[in-house]
Amino acid sequence: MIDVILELFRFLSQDPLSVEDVISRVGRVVNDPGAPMPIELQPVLSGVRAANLDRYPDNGLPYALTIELAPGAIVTAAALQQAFGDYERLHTDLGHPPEIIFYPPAVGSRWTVAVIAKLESVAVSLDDQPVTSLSLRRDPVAP
Amino acid sequence: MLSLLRRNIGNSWRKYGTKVTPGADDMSGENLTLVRTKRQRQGGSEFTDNTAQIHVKGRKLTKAQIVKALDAMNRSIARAKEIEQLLDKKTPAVEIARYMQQKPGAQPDLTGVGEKGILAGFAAAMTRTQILWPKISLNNRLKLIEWDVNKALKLAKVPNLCSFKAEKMDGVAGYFQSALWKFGINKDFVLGSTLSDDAAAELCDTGMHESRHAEQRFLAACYYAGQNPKISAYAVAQKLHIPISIAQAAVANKFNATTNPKVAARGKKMYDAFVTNGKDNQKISDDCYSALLKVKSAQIEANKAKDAFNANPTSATYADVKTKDDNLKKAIAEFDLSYKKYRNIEYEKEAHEVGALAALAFKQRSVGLPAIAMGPPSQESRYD
Repeated sequence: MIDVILELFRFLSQDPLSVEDVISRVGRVVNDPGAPMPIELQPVLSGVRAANLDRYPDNGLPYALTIELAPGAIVTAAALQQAFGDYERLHTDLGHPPEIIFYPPAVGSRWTVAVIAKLESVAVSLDDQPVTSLSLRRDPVAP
Repeated sequence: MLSLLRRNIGNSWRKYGTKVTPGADDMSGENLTLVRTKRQRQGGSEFTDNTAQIHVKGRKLTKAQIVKALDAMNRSIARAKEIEQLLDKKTPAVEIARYMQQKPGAQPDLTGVGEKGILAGFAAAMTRTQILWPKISLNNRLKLIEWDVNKALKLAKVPNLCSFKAEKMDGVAGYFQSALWKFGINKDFVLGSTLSDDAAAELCDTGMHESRHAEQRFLAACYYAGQNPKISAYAVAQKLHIPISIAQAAVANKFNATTNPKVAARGKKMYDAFVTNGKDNQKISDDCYSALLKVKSAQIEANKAKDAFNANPTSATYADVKTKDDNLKKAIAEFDLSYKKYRNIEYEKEAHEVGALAALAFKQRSVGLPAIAMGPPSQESRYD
């Protein structure tokens, strides 16, 4: 599963990259209610049971790809840490599962990709927690 | 995760603090004849079995003592159910009721999305949404809500949402995720064929509660950006865990000597709550949720003990009822303590207040409080 995630990370770091490129890679459109609501995709990626693509409201470029992992696709916070470096826990409200964020170095010259992972629960150490969904957020690199 | 959300939004939601009448919770069984009397309908149990022999420490209990114990357990279970619902209702109804007792217009006029005009405008827009609701698609219902949330944010000079999504959620009404600048709303909100007054008030509460969280995060970023004139948007983005586009807006609006002192003070307060004391505050939320799960678990055990007593009222099953009731009471007391701490976290205190005032603005919309117009979309044709 980590290979799929790393591949998506590299793919989303590309420039140029259009919404159509992401659709071709991830899966066909199921529902597109218009930005800022995400496009719902039918993913063809291994280990991914749902996918949504957000667009930048001003220019329509891909902003964030969120994937929900299939029950059998196990990846832990520790595995992501090996791939993307140290993480920080994000603030989450009462009743929501914990979330962590990684800021891996940019692999392209135009875009950085932050990796945001939703974990299963706060019951045990975050490192050992399975990831339930993952958002890859594209930010333009500073000029 | 617990499945706590009321599935039929607007359809007889149980209110926090209201008396729960016995239904499925009635003590009934083969050996106990329970007649639904006026006393029962008011929440009490009536033990009419004169043959049951219940002994505690060698002494036979009277019927009145048994009834008292059963009543106590029913009250604990009812309270546990109210606690479960604290997640799906942003503001307990008793708190909104407290505001309702005040004279219309007497409520506090807060800054940002908490301004009276913005709240009244959002409530007025929700009335328009309520009218259009049965005639429009699910996507267009969402578009209306998103439009009004973004309009309120814009009026409060907060960057618009980068993402807005209806999702299946267990037990919660919505959330704001700063890392994606996203408002997630429980899909159940938009599935009903009509939008009842209660559901619309709840949408106002959730919409403005989460908008307040967006505003708080932005103010914290503006405050942080103002601490160092040369700070980059990237540094702000990583410190506050927000997208670059939002950090750039914060740098452009960084606090300085001309910033409204009230707003500047809020920015510092929110920075402290999210960053300086962020880990401690997150632990309060986590502990509160753990306490809620313990209440749920103790409630399940209490119900099992009650069922066992109903099926076979003996001294042993009675003793188990008492033990499980004590455990449930202890779990409730622990939850009450942690919930109080949670509600006192600066960002939650503010967001709950704004959410409650938005719900109130909707409930008092007929009073005609001055409202800032949310503007289009007002043409029904765009949303049919």
